[in-house]
Amino acid sequence: MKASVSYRLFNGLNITFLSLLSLICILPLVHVLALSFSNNSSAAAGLVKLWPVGFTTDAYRFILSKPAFLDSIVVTLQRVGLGTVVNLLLTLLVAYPLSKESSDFRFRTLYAWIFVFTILFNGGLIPWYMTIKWTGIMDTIWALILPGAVPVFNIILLLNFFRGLPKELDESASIDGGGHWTILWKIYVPLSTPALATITLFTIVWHWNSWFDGLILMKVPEHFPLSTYMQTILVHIDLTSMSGKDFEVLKDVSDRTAKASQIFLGALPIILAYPFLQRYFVKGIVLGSVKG
Amino acid sequence: MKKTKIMSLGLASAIMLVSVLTGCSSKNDGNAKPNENASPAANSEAPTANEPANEPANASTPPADPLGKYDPPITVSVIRPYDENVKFVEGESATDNLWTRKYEEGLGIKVNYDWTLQAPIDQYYQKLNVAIASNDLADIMVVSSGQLKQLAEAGQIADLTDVYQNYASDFTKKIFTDDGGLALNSATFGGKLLGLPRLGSDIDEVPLLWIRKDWLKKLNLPDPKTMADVDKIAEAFATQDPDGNGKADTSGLGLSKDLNGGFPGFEGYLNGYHAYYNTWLKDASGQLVNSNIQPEMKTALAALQKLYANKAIDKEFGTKDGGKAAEAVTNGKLGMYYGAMWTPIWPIQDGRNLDKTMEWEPFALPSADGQPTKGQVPFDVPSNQYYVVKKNAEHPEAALKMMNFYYDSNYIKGEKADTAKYDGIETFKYVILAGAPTTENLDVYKKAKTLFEANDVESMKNAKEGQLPIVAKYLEGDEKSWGYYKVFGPDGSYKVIEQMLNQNLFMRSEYFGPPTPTMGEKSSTLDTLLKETFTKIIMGAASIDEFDKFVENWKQLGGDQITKEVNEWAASR
Repeated sequence: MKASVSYRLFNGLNITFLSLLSLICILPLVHVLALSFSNNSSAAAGLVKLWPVGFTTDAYRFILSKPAFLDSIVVTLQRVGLGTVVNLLLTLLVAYPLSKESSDFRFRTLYAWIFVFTILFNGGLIPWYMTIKWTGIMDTIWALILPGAVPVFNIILLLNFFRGLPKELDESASIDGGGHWTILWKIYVPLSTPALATITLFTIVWHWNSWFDGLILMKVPEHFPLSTYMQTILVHIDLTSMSGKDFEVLKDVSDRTAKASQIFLGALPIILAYPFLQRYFVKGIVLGSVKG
Repeated sequence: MKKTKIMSLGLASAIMLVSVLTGCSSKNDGNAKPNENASPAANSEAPTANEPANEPANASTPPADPLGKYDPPITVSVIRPYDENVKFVEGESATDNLWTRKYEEGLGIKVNYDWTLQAPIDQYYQKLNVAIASNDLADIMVVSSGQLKQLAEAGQIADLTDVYQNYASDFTKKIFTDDGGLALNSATFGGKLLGLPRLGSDIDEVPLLWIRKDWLKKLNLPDPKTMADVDKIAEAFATQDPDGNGKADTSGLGLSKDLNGGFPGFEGYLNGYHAYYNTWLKDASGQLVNSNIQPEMKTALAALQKLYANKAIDKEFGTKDGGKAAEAVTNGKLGMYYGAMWTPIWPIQDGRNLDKTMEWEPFALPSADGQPTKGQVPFDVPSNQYYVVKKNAEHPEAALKMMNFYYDSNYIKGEKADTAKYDGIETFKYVILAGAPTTENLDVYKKAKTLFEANDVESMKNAKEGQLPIVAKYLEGDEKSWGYYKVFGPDGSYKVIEQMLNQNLFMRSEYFGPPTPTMGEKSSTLDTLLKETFTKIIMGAASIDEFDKFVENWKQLGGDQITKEVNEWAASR
């Protein structure tokens, strides 16, 4: 019974602590949601806390009628769709050979180091920009996909996962006449669904959130992905230097509700996708294939 | 492997291409058609060699007609920003709109946007920095003063001295000389004009004192005449419960963590003590000195420190940016601030939407002694934007023509856009090379005043100045247009600015050249030092004697060097 007191005490504290922690994560989102449903003046006065003041759906109606917002969603969907497929394919194709022993694949270590090298060192912003410019993919969807097409970090994750798979599976497959393609697609891929799901999630979130490449590489606003578009509308106006006709923009400075609704709409798909992919995290990327 | 290979291949080809292309372009330049009259000037060592007198000598040179139409049409590439709130009508876009068509129809110039960005200007500059570093430039670009300097030093942009002489229209020349040539001077490097400043009005940025008039009446306080009045009002607003809710939740003087700025700023308060933020003054011996380290600044800071100690300034101002400070105006917790002429539009308008009894009035800056207070106006070209032309651009004069064309159609002809189609759309924001005469907004106020006195709301509604129809809306009862009324209306911001102009109460910097080398290097360090020290002093975390230490540090950390460079500049003029 003594143990049960301390057990309950620990449990109670644990639950309180974790609830507080999750509240800290959720409250900002609730605040943004409340802002997006409030009227503009109350929002500007800082009266809105966790519940809308002066409930209205004007902000959403305004956003949904805005072509730029919808355009950018289309670009982002393209980017996420194409980018995830390309990334996953290349990750698999690189991780498989690199997971082999040096006796099977002679320059394995050298190749692995070349990939790791690109994590540690890169050319910097300007060479990156020039490379993309001279390859002629500027201002196309490929400029957002190809430069990051080989995610080395994910490759290392998957490579380690592959190495955890028993070699006996390989051997039996090759005895039955299966080549490397068969082994990869028929044996490795089905066995590593949890790892692939995790990597897929990483990739989707990464593509969804990156904004800097969109800003630098796209020439017209119509080609911006959603996160870049958000970045261009959400940053504060610098009040320390403003002149001439600049004050015209002030009418819209207080448009906090519109901004809040766009943040919310922009985050919504990821918020919805997360719980469904979340359960694969539990199985984890480090889990092996052979159980019990 | 794959990635590395692609990268190295890309890099190698990039380098090769760069060298090949630069080689090509200089060769092209040699064979250039003779009518590119400005190209040689861009490369010439003696900038004044190509005087207008030489022009007619060159037979194939087209006559320098400021508005001459190109036939056949030419194409220029352009990189420019749009501000966040530009709207386009159905079927038009950033790259194809009313003004791109106007340029083509009126001047025979086809605008080909390399890229544009509709975003806060910092992001535009960031993106442009990458383009500049990669030498990925367009014929005409909008750049910041820092980028202008960088481009000038790298020799990436064309010398516009002769083009300006030959192609600027009379109106363009007039507005560039109206300010005594200050703006053009800031774009002149070693005698060469390398950029065209985007003119704006510096008097628009002068600080005014804004007070809740209804609180003044409620507490039976007089209008402020002296700085003592200002302090008294600030303390009364903080302690005597002007909003009548029984709680001590109001503050008297608005400040933000930035200290300076259009809302709220401390410049106006400093000016009352004849102290100025970040500008250059002439001392008794005729030397230029920095205003931040003058003894007047110490007096003004001591006064602010006292106000803070007496709880007249928000205890947490050091953590609040302008947007956060604005909440206090909107929810009726602030009674006074120093701010620019546009503050009625934001943030006061939001406050009035919630509480119509809120009455804000602008006042001219009170003074600590009998001397009238001069309001400081900024140091740079107000917009901080310059138009530059890429070196070896085929038609450098196209930039000038486009600028003439805008002034011509907007200020001389006063053309109005197709109003039905462009109702409520600010088409002037589509213009690539723009600018405004110093008194543009003031003139709007004068017109508003005349029409108001004549009770002529109809003409106000149809005026070509976009602000007037909004003022008219307020006169017809639209509360949401109060902000514009308070700026341009008969008792608005410009009433005070006009008074100040008549008495010549503006303090302009004595230095107006491009940033000196040490300025570029050290000014952000010095500004951080200044803001940290001043904030500490105001909040009482450091005694006022900390100011003397600040002066020492400022001098050592590059201030003395900057002062030296500034005086060398002054001596060379």
